[in-house]
Amino acid sequence: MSIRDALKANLDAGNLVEVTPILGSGAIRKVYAVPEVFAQLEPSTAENEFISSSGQLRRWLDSFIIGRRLVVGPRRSRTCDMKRLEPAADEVWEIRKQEAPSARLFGRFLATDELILTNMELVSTLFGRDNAWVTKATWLRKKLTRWPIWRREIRNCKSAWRRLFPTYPPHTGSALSDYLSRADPEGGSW
Amino acid sequence: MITYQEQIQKAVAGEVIPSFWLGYFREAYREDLNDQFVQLCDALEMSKAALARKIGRRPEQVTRWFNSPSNLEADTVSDLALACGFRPVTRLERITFPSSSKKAATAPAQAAPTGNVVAVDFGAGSVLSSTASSTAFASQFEMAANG
Repeated sequence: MSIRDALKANLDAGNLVEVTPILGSGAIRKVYAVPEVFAQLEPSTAENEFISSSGQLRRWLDSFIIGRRLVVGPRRSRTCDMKRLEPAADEVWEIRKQEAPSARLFGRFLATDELILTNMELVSTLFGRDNAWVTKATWLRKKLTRWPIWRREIRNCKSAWRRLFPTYPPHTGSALSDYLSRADPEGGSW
Repeated sequence: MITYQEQIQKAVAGEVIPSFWLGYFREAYREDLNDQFVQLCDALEMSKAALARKIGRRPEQVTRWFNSPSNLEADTVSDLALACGFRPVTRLERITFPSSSKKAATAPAQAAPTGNVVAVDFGAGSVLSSTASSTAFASQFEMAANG
């Protein structure tokens, strides 16, 4: 059984749903989402707290699929729409919609230009009351290199991946072009 | 099963357009603007730094605008276009769907309708087409001298 067979099995079983563009034709890239994430990207099922971000994120994904040129940020970029999170070895990527209510999508690549979305969260939740202990002081005192809440999302993403593709690691690469076509690195280097 | 087309039509006809669709079409319009500026600067071989200098902005600000579709103010759109020797012209178009899309589009499942291809008019007879964005309306940049 190959990872392609596993993908097909997940699609057949409803563990993954292919995201197809609402407007726009052609597909250069592919995006699959777990049903919980897909529901938040659908006009008829998105929950109120997500719904404004959902529309923007869905359009972003539609354009991603159609093959719109992308600018991918370095790990510390705060302005890009997409980047690979640290540690890079985990191969977890983040799609960022920064306008309030800001939301984040997390996923891993199955192959070049094929993304599996595993979890989604509002930034307000990531920095919400439950996570109030993560102050900048705590962050600096513990000399953490990344926000612990994002580490939780990375764990969630990896966990979801293991459920979907138990024996297959995510796609890896050394250059941006290994992951995405029609993509430029922010600032010229990646 | 209700199609995306029907969902959009219902949303537009309703008293209040759901936030999802507001967000979706805002993003589509921002992408359209972003694509046009990126293509225009590429065609003119104009650097973002040079563009920033022309309009009195920081280069990193212009880079941010070009890297990701953003909510540009009308004044900023005008400034950026003028720096390239163009002026923005906005045209509103009714949302249309290809006739075949009605059958193909099912929500929330698989096939989706196709949208319009937006023609990007760079003025002076040069026309590029942008397939990356399919919005309900399009902006065009025309040479300021032609305006």
